Amino acid sequence: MLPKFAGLNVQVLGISVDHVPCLKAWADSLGGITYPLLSDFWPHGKVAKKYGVLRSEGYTERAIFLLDADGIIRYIDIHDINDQPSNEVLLQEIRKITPERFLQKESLPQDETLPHGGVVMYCTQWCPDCRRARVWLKEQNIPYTEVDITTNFTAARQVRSWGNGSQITPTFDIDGKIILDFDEAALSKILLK
Amino acid sequence: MKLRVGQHAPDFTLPSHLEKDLTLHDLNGKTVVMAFFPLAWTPI
Repeated sequence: MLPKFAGLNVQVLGISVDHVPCLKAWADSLGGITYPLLSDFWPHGKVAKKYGVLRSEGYTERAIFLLDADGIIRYIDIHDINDQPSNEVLLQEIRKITPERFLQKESLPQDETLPHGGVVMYCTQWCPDCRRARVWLKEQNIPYTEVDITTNFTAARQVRSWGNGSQITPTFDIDGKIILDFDEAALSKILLK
Repeated sequence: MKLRVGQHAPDFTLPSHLEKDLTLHDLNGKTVVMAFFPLAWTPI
């Protein structure tokens, strides 16, 4: 479902009541999933309950909530549990919210090349350690290039390969030297000579 | 409780399979597709 949303400033989240190791194993079995799979395992189904999609059997409906940039719900689809939601319908709904993105996307080639040289930080918008890393780099006055791996799939694959299969964010490529995670000591050693 | 279109999506923080916790609020500024699925090993 993901490549179609690239370039549209869309963040996809999968949510289930499975526990984290189970989600990880499942993602691995699929060759890695770049968007976060969230575990609503404990307290069991707390978020699903908030959204009204927890079934009495203890797992959730197959449901889609589409939120705009302000966090307002713009579309809800609670699907037959055995049926797949349609990406086309979803794309149409996203187009209603951000038509300008679709125009941009159509006029832009998909740029999937990776920057090299200097400090390149592979990250996501939401990951807390990426945020800490941004603050730290700014404090040290270190210029850097950011690559959002939720929209650049070449980058996501590269990060997984550096992390031996784990998609660790942030991952740094500093003139060819790879640092996994926001490892302040390792970064200081290279950058604060 | 039933949510409706036009309402604010309730905020939450959950652990992810990518080892980091995610807070919905941090995604403000992006369109978000929340896809609930019954269980892993079923198509998302």
